[in-house]
Amino acid sequence: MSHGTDIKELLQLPRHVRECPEVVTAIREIIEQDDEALQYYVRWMRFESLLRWTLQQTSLEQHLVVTEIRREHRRANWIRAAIVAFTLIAALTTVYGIAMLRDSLDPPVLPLVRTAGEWETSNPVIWENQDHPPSQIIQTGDRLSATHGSFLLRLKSGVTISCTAPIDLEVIDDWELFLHSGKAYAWVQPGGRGFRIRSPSVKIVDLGTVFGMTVNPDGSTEVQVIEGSVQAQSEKFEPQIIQGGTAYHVSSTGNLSLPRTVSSMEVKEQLSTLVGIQSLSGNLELRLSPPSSTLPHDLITRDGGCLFREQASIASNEEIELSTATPGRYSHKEPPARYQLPAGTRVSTYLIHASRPQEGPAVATIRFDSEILGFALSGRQLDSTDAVFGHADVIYPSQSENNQAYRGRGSVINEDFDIVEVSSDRHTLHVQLGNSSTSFDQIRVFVAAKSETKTVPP
Amino acid sequence: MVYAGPHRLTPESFRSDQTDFVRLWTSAAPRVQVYILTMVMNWADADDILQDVGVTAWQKFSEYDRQRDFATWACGIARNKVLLFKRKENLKLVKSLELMERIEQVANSDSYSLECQYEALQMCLQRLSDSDRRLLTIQETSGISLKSVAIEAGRSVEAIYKAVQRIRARLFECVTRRLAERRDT
Repeated sequence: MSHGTDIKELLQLPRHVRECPEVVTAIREIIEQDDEALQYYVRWMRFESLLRWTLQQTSLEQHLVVTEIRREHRRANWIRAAIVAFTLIAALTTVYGIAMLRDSLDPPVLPLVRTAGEWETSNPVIWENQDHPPSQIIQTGDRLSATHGSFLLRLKSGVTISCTAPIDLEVIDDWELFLHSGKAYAWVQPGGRGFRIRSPSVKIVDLGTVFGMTVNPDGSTEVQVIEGSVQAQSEKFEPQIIQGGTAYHVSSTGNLSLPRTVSSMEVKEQLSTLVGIQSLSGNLELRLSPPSSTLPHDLITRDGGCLFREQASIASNEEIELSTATPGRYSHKEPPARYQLPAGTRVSTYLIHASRPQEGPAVATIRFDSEILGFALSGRQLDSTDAVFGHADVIYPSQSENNQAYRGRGSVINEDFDIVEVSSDRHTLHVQLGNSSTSFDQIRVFVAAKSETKTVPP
Repeated sequence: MVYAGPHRLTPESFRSDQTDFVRLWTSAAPRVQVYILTMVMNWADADDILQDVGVTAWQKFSEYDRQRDFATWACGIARNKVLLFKRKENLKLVKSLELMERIEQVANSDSYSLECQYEALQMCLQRLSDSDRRLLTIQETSGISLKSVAIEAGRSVEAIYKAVQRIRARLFECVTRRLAERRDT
């Protein structure tokens, strides 16, 4: 500390302190050594003396001073309180402002809730949360957790997912799912290419296909590609294309195993659930993707024939004449009666095609998710329903083509061997089509659309 | 005791001298007080010495040469009184004649007259709030102590002293600044 600072502090002390011998001695020592301190001392003493001289001429009453001091004290306290309050408000405002600024700069990604699709089932599903089962309409962000049963998820993107409990599935949106655990199969229409399913260990991007995914409790995942191809990727491996007919195992740590061939049993099981068929046995090949043509020389099947779904949930504006599907066994001796399918009835249609006589009769038992409403058995019934109930991308034999070569369409049960049998619950259809070398057999099966036979979950 | 002075005292001459002395002393007292306070730096001692100087000045007023500056003459008396006080009371501040002369030299070399400083002080005092001015006045008013005021106002004595200290420092800075401005202009 300099002498200047010292002398200032000493001179400004209260008089009774400053006039103590020790302080006076200290001041003297400073002004003896320092000319500037001496000058300051002289100026201060002159100021102090003049101040006293001036103020002594002022009359003053003690009570006024006391009142003044009290008032000043209160005022100071108020000012202090106001400053504290202002500081607090300013601090809170600043914190709030920063938070708002941060929010505006980095807005929270609020989940945009919108309809992603809907689910349906034909059998009881036990949901994880029985008190609050999921709404039939699936919103983005919904989580479907079931402990028993199976259901179909139809997304707006055109992707159909077959889910088998126990399953824990999160709907990110209609283009992405997160399968936490359980088994799901996806049937992706051409418009749904790019659809993704993620699991804790792998991400699958569809490239136009049918594929299945099984997620184990430890997060490891089995990817089965039925048709087409998918792209698989994880943190541990670069994106890989998995072709149809192969399966991969991805460990919980994200490592990819060697591929293996998907068994036909797996394929049948997986495909049937996606198209509303609970089970299929026999030598009919189930096709998820419809063939481009059902003309005999175009449609080559491996076994006795094939089956594919033509339409899902469609209605005609007009009454349609069909063969009835009341429970029973029908043959050319006991043909089914005809009945009128009421206009507006919503149905799904399947075409059974048997065209390989050399392979022997096509024999199959098909259990549908929904009730069988009727058949188009005759050529006329088939032809009249092709336009509305047939698949838009499939070529069907027309009446004009019903010449000798094509003789047989619509003559399903005109032969002794041909049998059509409907179970008592009208869900199961057994067919035995013994087509000849000059004919082929086709049956269009009409089943109630899911919306009309929906089973409400418990 | 009233000292009549060297010349023959008549009632008329006495009244005339008294009037002159009061006028001159009233004018010179502040300067004398400054001188004494600077030398002793103790208000009680300074008051005593000033009173003593006043008496002596009146006693010797007949010796006063009216051609000379009364304040300078009175300060001469004050100087002798300070030296006398120093010998009697063991003055702590001015222990040597050398320091005394240095203080006088600095005081005399001050370019500002006491009147200038007084004017500056008046202006700065006007800038103070009433409450600050009253608080300062307490210290200079006989019969009122800062301590009694503090107790009555319900505040600590230290707080009052601190407040006074801050006001005085602010006032001193104001006066110094005004004098500097005056010098610059």
